[in-house]
Amino acid sequence: MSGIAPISTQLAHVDGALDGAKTEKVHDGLPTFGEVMGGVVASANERSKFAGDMAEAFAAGARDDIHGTMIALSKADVELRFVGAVRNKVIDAFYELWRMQL
Amino acid sequence: MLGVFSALEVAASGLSAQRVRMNTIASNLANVRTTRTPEGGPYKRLDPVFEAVDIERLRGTPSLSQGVSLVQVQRVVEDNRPGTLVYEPGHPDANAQGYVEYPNVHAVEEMVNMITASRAYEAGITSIESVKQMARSAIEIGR
Amino acid sequence: MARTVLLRPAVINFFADLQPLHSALDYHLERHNVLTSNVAHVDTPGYRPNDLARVDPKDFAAVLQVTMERTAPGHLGSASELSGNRAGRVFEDPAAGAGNDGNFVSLDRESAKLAANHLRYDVVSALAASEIKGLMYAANDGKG
Repeated sequence: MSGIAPISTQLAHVDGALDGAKTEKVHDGLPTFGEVMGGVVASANERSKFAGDMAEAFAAGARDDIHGTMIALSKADVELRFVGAVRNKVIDAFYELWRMQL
Repeated sequence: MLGVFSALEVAASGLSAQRVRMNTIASNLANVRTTRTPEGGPYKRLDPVFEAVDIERLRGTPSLSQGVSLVQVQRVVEDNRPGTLVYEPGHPDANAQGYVEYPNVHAVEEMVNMITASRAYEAGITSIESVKQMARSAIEIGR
Repeated sequence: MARTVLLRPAVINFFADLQPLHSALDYHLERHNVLTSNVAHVDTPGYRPNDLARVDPKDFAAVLQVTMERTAPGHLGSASELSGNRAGRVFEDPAAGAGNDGNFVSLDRESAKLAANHLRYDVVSALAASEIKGLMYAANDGKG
């Protein structure tokens, strides 16, 4: 029982270290990975919404654009899959690192 | 926007126009020997007159300025060329000199018109088939 | 609805190669409309056939090019650029004054143009489809 307290403080210490690590940004002019991922996810989101709107407008008869709608839908599909693939890679990489530390 | 549906509308208007033309030709041929009409005088051959009309559903972007328009029958006119006079004194519609005025319809002319109307109709059908196939290829994108 | 979507620039633009193909599809579809209108007006008195102005990088070598210069005016751009270019209406100089109604449409000529235009649309459409397929393969991490 007595061992838990020191461990929990140790973990808190690690957590704090991680937090500190997060706030420390190395700025060499290039976007951080977080920023890149954020941009990609936002872009995929917007594109999906746009494609959805286009498809809806087409179905409602408001728009006529067949190839435009199909292209927009395909682009949204591709981008979503890309985000998913990157997410999977990130998770895989994280687990590798996780295994390494322990 | 100018897309598949506008193309179909334009082509359809062309088909209707040619159909009207066919009908007037049919009327002309049917009345090739009609020497008496309710208005008096022989039958006068008919001709449709067409005009270009803006596509209404494209509000805001007048299609005429983009070189695309529907075709519409403006009116059907009578041909006022004189008919052929044939000497037939015994004919009930003969005039004082014994001549009967037959309609100004010439079968050969009408047949030629019929052929061109038919060709124009087919060209319209072809353009419709074309755009349908184009739409199908577009649908294949991303399939 | 506007064609340009993203409120902030995408980090990576996978779709740069798709853009000229999309524009080409717009162009050919619009041209189909103009040619169909010519055919419909084969008997309209005084009608002169219209056509879209040729756009320079329309041959397939340019369309298949990975990088395409879009700086020079007259080059194929987005649909919004094309729509601003309405001066691209020409009428063919007729060989003869054609019919007595002053109509200048030659059915044969328009039909030939329609056929060629249809073919081009179909080919560009196939190119776009294959482009998307390639991107899909890559986005699925090479697993189809």
